[in-house]
Amino acid sequence: MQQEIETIYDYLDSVDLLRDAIGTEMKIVLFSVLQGLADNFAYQVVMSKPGNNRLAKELKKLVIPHVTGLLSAYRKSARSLGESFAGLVLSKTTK
Amino acid sequence: MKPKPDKAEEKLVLNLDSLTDVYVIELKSIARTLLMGGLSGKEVTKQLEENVKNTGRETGTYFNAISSDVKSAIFQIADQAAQEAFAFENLQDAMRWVAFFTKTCPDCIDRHNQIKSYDEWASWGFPRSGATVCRQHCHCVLIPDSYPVKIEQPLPRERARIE
Repeated sequence: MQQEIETIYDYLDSVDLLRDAIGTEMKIVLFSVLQGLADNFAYQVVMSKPGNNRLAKELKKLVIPHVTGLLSAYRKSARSLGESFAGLVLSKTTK
Repeated sequence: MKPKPDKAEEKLVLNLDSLTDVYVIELKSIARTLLMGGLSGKEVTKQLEENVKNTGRETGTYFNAISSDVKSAIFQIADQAAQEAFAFENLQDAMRWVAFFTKTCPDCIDRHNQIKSYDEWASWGFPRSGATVCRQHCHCVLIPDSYPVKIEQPLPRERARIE
């Protein structure tokens, strides 16, 4: 197979592996966040009135920083994969 | 045209906002149904606790949707870094769409091997932008046309997985 095609395969494979890693870690983080508030959260769901979105707001305040924090932790690796791929492509690109 | 920084995170936060709203609405709907069915508040609370603690259907769906969005953001960040490098070298006038057979959607098969400028692709929709049937699950790439690769047909590909 052409080495140039192999470069694209390698890029997609590397990104997929990184995606799997963050996906798995994300579920663990979310699981632990929701475990911590399950009792009180369930009670509030039952007691909250229709149309009241306070509960969703509170959950967002808790979940969003965890998710964006994890994304930040992986950002450097993701950018590095993109940059390496571009570097390999550029080294074979005719200008 | 350089892609904007942090667009991936912006999109992720917007999606999280809607996903969380939907999750809470679904839990409330379950609670209402159970209460109307005659269960006590205490019993309903216990059932919802189980759903949250043991990752029941609604909680599992919420987790999977967030996980999928985060994974999609990783691809966007990597793509963005690559496209910035291509832009720096002024190679974005002619970008080739390359599709891979992993469950390739009809839109991506149509786009395979087409060459357009980066700005034209921006209006058509980039891989994983949601413009194709496969939406954020797309596994296509945009590479400069001058990259010496002949790909008449979409390429077969086995997706890499952590073992």
